[in-house]
Amino acid sequence: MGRACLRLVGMVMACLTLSLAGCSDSPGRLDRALWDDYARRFISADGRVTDADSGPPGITHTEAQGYGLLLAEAAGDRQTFDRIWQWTQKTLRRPDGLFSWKFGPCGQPAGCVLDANNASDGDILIAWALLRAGRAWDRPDYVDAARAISMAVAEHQTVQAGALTLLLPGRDGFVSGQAVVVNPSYWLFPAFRDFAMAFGHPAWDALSRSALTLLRQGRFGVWGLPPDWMQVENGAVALAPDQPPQYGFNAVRVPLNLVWGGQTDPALLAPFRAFWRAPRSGPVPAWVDLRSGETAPYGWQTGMAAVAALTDGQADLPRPGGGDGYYAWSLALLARVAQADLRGAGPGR
Amino acid sequence: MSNVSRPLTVLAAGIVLALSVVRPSLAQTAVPEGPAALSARLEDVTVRPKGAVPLSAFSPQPGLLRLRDEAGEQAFFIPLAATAVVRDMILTLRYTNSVALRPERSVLAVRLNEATLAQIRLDPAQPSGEARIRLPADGWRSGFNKLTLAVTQHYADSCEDSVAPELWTEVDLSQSFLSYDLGPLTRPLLLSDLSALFFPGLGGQREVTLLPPPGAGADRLRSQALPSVAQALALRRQFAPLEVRQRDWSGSGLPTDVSGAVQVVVGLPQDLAQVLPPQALPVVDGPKVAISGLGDGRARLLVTGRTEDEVIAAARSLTVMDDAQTPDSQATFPQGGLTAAPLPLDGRVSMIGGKSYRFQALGFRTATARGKGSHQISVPLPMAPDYYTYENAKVTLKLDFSYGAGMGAGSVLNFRVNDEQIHGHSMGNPDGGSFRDYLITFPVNLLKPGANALNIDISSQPPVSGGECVGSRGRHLLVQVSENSVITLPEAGRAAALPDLARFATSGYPYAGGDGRAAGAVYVGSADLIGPALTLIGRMAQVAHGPVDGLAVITGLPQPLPGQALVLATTAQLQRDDFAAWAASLSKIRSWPYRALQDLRTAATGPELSLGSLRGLISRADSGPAVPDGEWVQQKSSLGDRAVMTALRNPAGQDGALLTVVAAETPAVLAARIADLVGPGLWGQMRGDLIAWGQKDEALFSMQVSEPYQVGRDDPLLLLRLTLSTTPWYWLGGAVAVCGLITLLLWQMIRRRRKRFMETQ
Repeated sequence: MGRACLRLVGMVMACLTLSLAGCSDSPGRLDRALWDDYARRFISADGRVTDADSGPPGITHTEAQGYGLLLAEAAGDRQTFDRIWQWTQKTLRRPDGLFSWKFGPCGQPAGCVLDANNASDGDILIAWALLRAGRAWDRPDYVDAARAISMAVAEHQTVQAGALTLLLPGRDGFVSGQAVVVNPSYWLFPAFRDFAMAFGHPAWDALSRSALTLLRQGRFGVWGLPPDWMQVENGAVALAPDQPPQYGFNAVRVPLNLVWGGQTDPALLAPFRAFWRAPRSGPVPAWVDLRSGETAPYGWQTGMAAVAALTDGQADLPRPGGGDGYYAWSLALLARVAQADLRGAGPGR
Repeated sequence: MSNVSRPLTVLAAGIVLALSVVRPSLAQTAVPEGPAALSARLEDVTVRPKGAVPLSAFSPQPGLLRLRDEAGEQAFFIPLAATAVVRDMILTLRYTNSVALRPERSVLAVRLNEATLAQIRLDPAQPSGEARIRLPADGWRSGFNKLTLAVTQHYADSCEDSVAPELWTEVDLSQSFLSYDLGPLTRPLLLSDLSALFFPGLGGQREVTLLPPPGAGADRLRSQALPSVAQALALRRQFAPLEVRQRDWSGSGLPTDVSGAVQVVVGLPQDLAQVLPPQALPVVDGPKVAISGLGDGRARLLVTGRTEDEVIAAARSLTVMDDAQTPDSQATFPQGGLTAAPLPLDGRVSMIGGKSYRFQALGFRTATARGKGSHQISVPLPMAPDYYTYENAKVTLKLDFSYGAGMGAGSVLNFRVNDEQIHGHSMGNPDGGSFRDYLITFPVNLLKPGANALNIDISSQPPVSGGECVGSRGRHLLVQVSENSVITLPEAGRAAALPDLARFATSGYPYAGGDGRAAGAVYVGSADLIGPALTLIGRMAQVAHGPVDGLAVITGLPQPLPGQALVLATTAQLQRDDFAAWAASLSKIRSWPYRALQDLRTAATGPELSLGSLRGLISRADSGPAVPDGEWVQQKSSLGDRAVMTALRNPAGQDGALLTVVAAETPAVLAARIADLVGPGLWGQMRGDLIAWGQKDEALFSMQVSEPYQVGRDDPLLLLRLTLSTTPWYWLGGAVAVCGLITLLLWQMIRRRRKRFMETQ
């Protein structure tokens, strides 16, 4: 009897200890099987997320690391989250608190940073994932790291052009005289909202306001879609001169960010819905040229379809499969996390 | 030195400092004109597209210039802003020559930057004349231009005494004019042009308008950004005054009738977007300044940032921006570095006690005076504003200088500190001389807080030998002073006696500390006095030789005024109980020292307003009166068009905080009087703790009405010594007490000895 009691107490203590130590993953908002498949496909043992779409052996960019962190948090996978974060900050972090955006194979066996410039979407994704994880798992160190990164973005990556607060896509190379090139898909409205509430920097609300203004102004082509890259000069919006004039793999994230951030004004979403629902013989093209109206000779991916389904408020989102690549998987899973958040299961909500 | 001659000395010193060259000097005679006339001339030097300025404005000696001997010359250094393009420049010379001259061999030459442009025959048959010489536009360069008037004059064809008294020609500098026609730059303006825009010479702006956004939302920018902008621009004026005006813009746009050719717009980009076209707005990625031309010689400077902190940081950065290294139309300053950190004190040297300084460290470069005649070499001696040491302490100079061979009789060097002669040296060795560590000492009390100068007056004369036919032209004469000379100051502490408006005028002390940080704040009675306050702050930065970082302008007068404060207000705004209590109200009480009343009696009288109860003010226990009761006179009168500045210990402050009040009847009068005050004509006359002044052609009245008190940050023993040195009666009292004690002791000893003697009898 006494031995049985001791064993019971021991088991309880062991469970408690394991729980406090975070050794057991709590159930997340992302289907664990999907997440495990994603992790198996794209995340290495040391925590590097590989963009397999770029061809073998694949490169890594901060956007991928940010997606990996977001999805790991949503799946409740603390170990993988920590692995990704450790690799990211050890390998890509710069002295200014931001991250070099591109890593890949080079002359060295371990690979190296291929471009020291940053990408603000990657920085924001990493910071946002850290904030969500810090809140969900009560990790002040993650919140502190999120604060530092988001402050660095607010301080170094925003510019004021008249009344507009603009997010520079990267620290270098996007301002030329009065002209600023921006990427509308980098405007992560839910992250801006969370940063503003958590850390109080005025740049985030200003960025949201300006981004919505530009999305209303920056409509191009037959469908009135936002471009992948946009130029703002003296208050006027135009297609970026040095980039393909497309709505494509970048801008497809715009409706995801809008819906995820609660920006569900029908006027904002109407161009996307009209484009997706337009009568055509084949699938929705992956991109459309906003000057000529030419469309991609191939159809959209599962990820894009998932974004469209989320925007349309569908309950069942397309499930990625073996034929899908890194980007399709990422978008499809992100749409699922957004859907879970919108249903009220988001961290800290 | 007389008060009257100081303004031109300031101008001349500025030119000398800017050039670090030797300039020939004139005889040291008193300046015959009043400060008002001097101010007028200096004002004329500043830009208007067209105008005329007398040559006397470029000379420490207004009036007559006498060119003597066989070959005499005088150089004028004429400053020209790099942003001004010379269209036309005409020199009108009025001269008189000796009737003993030989016309075919006597010539007055005019040279611009060493190129001879005209030769005027000096004809004894027409001994007075007027000549007009066009100085070609392509002969001018930005910065200082050397205009030389040189005579070659003879009274005989052979065997002539080269220094005969008949050899003279006079040029009337006040009646000789430089007429100019200037145009704007045709290329886009750059930030590297900013110094040129405010250059203290032809083409430079002497007034500027600052335009912040309207409303209470911009109060922080008005309070903290505008003072830095005003200082930044005033420092670019070097030693010349800058009148700063401030106007909020309105919802309908920027005002179109601003004063001056340069407008400075300060604000957040969102605010600027309401009044400026999009193409005029730079992309703002941090604390940013941008400049653009508006056509017709006008320019706009933007000071902006993404947040108010960044706008303030941009304004602060502007005070230390190296214009020459900023060849762009806009510049962003690294974020964070200047937001809270102290500004770098580059270029600001103040000598402190117990240390030795090479002249090189003081901004002096080795200078050489060539040729015969009088020359002057000036060495700046900047002192910390609160430098204090004992009255009998000595400063040591170890000079490295030399003179060349062939000096004649009467060749001497005279060394002066702030116009006090400290040493003379005869250059009597015909083979020349070279000196290293030539020792000169002088009392430290010849130095004053702020800017000082060691002036070396050189008189180089060629030898007279073999009779009048074997004279020397003296071109071989040479004197050189080395930058390796050293000055050593005695040990000192950091203390000062206040109130002292002279100290304020020379260093901005105590509001500008020697460390470049502000001590105290500037309060204005109403928003329309911000402009005059900024004008005053700009002048303070000039005399402090660098920005006074953190100096804020606060609108409204808190009750009581805390700490160290400089107040600008109208007499009506000062009518408050707390001011009445310590009586700097300058309002309805009418007690004035008799001498002050005599000076002010001519002021226009008005209804009930008048100068304040200074008597009550200085009757406080902590600030006893220096003026006896019998000299106080009651009078009801207004200030009229005069202004008053008075300084006193702030009863509401601690640690010897000073309160300085500048008052006039109306904001407009106060603005006009501040603009007059910051001019060199009046500023150099400030002393005591009470000054009153009217329009710039009137003299400034000053006097000390309260007992000084001591402030300091060093050891108490030093403060005690300062107290004793400023109140010598304590020494006398102490001496009497010691004498009394000795007498008592002697008396006691004598009595005891007598008693003992009586006992032994």
